[in-house]
Amino acid sequence: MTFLNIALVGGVLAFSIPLIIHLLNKNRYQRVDWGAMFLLEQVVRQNRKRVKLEQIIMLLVRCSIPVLLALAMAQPILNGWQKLMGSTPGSTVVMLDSSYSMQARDQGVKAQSRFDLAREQTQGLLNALPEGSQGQVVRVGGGFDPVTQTLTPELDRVGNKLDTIAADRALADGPAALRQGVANLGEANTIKRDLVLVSDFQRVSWAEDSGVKRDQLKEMIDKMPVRPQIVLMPVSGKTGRNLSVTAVDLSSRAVGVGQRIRVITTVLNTSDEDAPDTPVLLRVDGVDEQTQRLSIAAGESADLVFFHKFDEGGPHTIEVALSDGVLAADDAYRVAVNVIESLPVLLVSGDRGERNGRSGKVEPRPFPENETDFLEVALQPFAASADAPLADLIKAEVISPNAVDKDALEGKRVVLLANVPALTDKQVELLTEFVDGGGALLVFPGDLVDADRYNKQFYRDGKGLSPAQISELTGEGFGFDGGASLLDERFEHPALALWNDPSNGSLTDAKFERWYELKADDKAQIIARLSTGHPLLVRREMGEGVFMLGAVPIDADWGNLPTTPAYLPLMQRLIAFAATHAEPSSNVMVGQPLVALLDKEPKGSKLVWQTPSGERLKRKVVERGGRWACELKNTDEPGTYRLLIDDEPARVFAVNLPRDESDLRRLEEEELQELADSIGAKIMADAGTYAEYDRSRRHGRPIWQVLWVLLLGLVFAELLLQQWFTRGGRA
Amino acid sequence: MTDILVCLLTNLGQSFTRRSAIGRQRCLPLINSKHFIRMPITDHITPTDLKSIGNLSVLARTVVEGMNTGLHRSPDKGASIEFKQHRPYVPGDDLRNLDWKVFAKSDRFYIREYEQETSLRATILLDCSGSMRYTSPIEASRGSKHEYAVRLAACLAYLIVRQADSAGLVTFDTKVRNYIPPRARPGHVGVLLDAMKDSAIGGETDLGQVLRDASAKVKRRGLVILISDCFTDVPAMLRGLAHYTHARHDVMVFQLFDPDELTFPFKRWHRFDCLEVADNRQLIDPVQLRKSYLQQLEQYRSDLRKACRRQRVDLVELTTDQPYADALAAYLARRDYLARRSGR
Repeated sequence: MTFLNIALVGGVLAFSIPLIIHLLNKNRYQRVDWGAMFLLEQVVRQNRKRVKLEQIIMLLVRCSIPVLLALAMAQPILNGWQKLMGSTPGSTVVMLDSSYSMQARDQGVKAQSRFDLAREQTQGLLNALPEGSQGQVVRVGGGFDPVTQTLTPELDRVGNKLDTIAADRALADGPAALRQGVANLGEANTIKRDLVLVSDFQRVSWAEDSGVKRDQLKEMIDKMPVRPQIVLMPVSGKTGRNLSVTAVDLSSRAVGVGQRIRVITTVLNTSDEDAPDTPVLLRVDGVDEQTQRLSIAAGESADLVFFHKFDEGGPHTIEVALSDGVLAADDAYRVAVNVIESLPVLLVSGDRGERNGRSGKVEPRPFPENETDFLEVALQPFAASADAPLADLIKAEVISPNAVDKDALEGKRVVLLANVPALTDKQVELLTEFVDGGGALLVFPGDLVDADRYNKQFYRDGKGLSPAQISELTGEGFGFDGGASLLDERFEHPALALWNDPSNGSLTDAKFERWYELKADDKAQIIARLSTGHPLLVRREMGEGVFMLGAVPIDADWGNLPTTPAYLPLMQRLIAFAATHAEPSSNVMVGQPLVALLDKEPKGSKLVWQTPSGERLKRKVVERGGRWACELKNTDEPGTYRLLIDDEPARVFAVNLPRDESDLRRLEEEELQELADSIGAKIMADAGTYAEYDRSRRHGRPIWQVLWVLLLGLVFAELLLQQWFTRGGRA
Repeated sequence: MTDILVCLLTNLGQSFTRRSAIGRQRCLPLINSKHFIRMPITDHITPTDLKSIGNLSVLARTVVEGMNTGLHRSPDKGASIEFKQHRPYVPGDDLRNLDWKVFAKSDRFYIREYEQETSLRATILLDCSGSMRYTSPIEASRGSKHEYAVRLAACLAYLIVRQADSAGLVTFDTKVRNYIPPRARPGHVGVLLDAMKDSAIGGETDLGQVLRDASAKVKRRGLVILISDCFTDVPAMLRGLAHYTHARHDVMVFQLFDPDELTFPFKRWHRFDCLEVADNRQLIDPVQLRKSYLQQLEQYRSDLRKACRRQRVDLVELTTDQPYADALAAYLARRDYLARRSGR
């Protein structure tokens, strides 16, 4: 005999409860001085045997009730008592691989994809289950998604749902799928339990497989009160060549109207065959724009660069696609781009020129002696030329420190303080609010700066905006010979990551004679250092915005940075990233949430998200740091999502599948057999083989239903006997 | 409570206008008879209430005066104060009864005859055995059967003496403990009540033997009233009572039960300790034996009723929650029957 819930067998000890109650009652009697003893004695004498018998019967019945209850709950199965062959109802969990690799059509079976075959086999399995069986189908890929929440006897309903699902999920984790299936079978209440994994058994799905994990799985199976039969059902055949667009990157995070951007595309050939002269298509907003041809060796990847210029601002989609016809899911990669008209930046110059003694006006010095001259050119390189083919994204406005007020900050996304001697407390308060609300404040000190006042206003012993304290002035002439250069290291910040590739030049050409020593605290992220080890640029996120502090001025007073080739892209990227850092990414992988931040409150409390398949989902809008956020958590479907906002153009978001599944190579026959042997599984080609195998099996017979009936009978018997006995039986 | 009693006693003549159904039914023979019985005070006051009256004399007066007892005119003629008739002298007549005035007028001898009031000699046999000590654990306020018996005996004694009859008392347990011969003096009631009050409860009793022993003391023909629970062997008891019936005594038996003894209401496990014999105890689940016990009890009561009927013994079953008036009414009915029988 086997018990499905062996722990509950211990409940049989509860038989002692009625016994204890009986003994307690007998010992805790009440004493009565009785007169009519001659009557009572006769009664006791005449009924002694009957009373004893009745007490024994009642005790037996009452003790049997908890024993039967415990046994019934422990779900016993008589192993020796077997049903007719194949007629035993069972519980079957089918783990159906729904990763997008199942879209592949293998050689020889062009008409059907792997998923079509898998669905067919799953349907066959459900049909082959004996009457009274329970079934569950769980989709595997990027996690687990049960078609029915629990095991259900309504197999037809499960079968009907199969027609509505598709192979569009991310990576299927084979070992995890088996563990999940075994766990689901733990809820079954039948002696016959089967776990069937219908999959293409991609090699990549079993990449995490190891001896340790198999042992864990085996241990998990062995621990189950009833050992499930695991069946591996491969549905893949030999596949042909598969190419995949694995990544699409844009050259700039902030894309402006009229700017030429680079669309850097990576294409991977996962097969064992070379892919010569493969056409790759760039599609913008659904319109085919450019096609380039690419040759990729077997197992290699290749990069391809498209150039594109947006003529209109607003949300756009870029899609890079190829057409090898094997897997539609990895043939296209989408990127959502929000093209902005311009990026307004406020440059506060501490030294704009000399004040005229007569007129009192500030007269600029000749270029490039003013503090922000280099920076203006770097940020707006095309502004000087009227017939420039491209437009500037950044629109810089230069003002004096005393002009920093609420009006000046209106509509700006970045404020840069260049060698500003000091600010009033009110101005600092305005800038703090600006950063809290999502703005970016960049501070580059110089010879005019009052360091102590800066520290009091911005650092405030670690409680202010600044993540670092401006300390001593260091460098040549200040006890330090030879100056310093920018330290050549791997840059983590995206604005500087460009220079991790040596082909893009180097930042180490920049030399500095003098600099402020910055004492950064724990909250600071050091973006770049000097060769002396001192921080050159530090940042800190504050509220919804960001604060950056440099150790050197932005002009050429203390170094040659503005005259190096890297100055322009460095400043452009720094400003662009600072301006857009608060914006959540419009491009995520399947399963990750999409977040949209709105500058003004929408009319309704909810906004509508439109999924790639056209489904419309309403989601609540919540206030976040002075802006309004709307989030969509469920992004299981790859493609382009749209957020519909009142009268504004819909925002676009791109959700892509991870490219792990693009590698269609499957486990070899020997490897699959070894896997099956290690976990005691059987490999079956199709549902028919499974049905034949099922018919040949014998199973024990569950008897807990009988026990429940007996228990019910005993409860009634106890009531009836009590009534009967208390009526006195015979006189 | 005492205030209520005083008030009721003061207004005895006016206030007894209502009558309970039970009281009416029990007193019906008396109402229909020529002796009209007024509403007994005990219809208003339960035995439990009366229990609070410690003084037996007050209790007896309270109960008895609640009943307007009738007079028992004797049909016997003899020496008395009330003249009835003259009859001619016959030899052998007592010369003291000759009416000399008539002889002087008529020169004939006539005997004066007077109407005489009879005097009933009632002897109360009060059972003081251990079984009379039973007090209900469920409703202890009812008191024991012995307490009820003493009060009942007091009421009867008061009533008997008040009716100019003689009342005597025998208390007994294992044997006769006290004997007070019947007297009709009003002051005799106090003697009886004192004896009842001092009666102590004893041990096991053999009712048959004790009745036999007591019969030797009750020599003159009269009414014998036995107040007992009669928890003994029925034939033995009847043999004891036969001594009285053979001596042409009229016998009344007031059999007392506590309601618990009639219903056996116990539920949990109980140990029943015998009140008469030490170490005689039974540990039982009463629920299992209730039906059998009640059947056994019914059998016993039926046997006793039949036996009493055979012996012409008047058996009155009482429970300790029943009004004393019921017992008094039964007594008066019996007294009335005896008076009428004598009249025939």
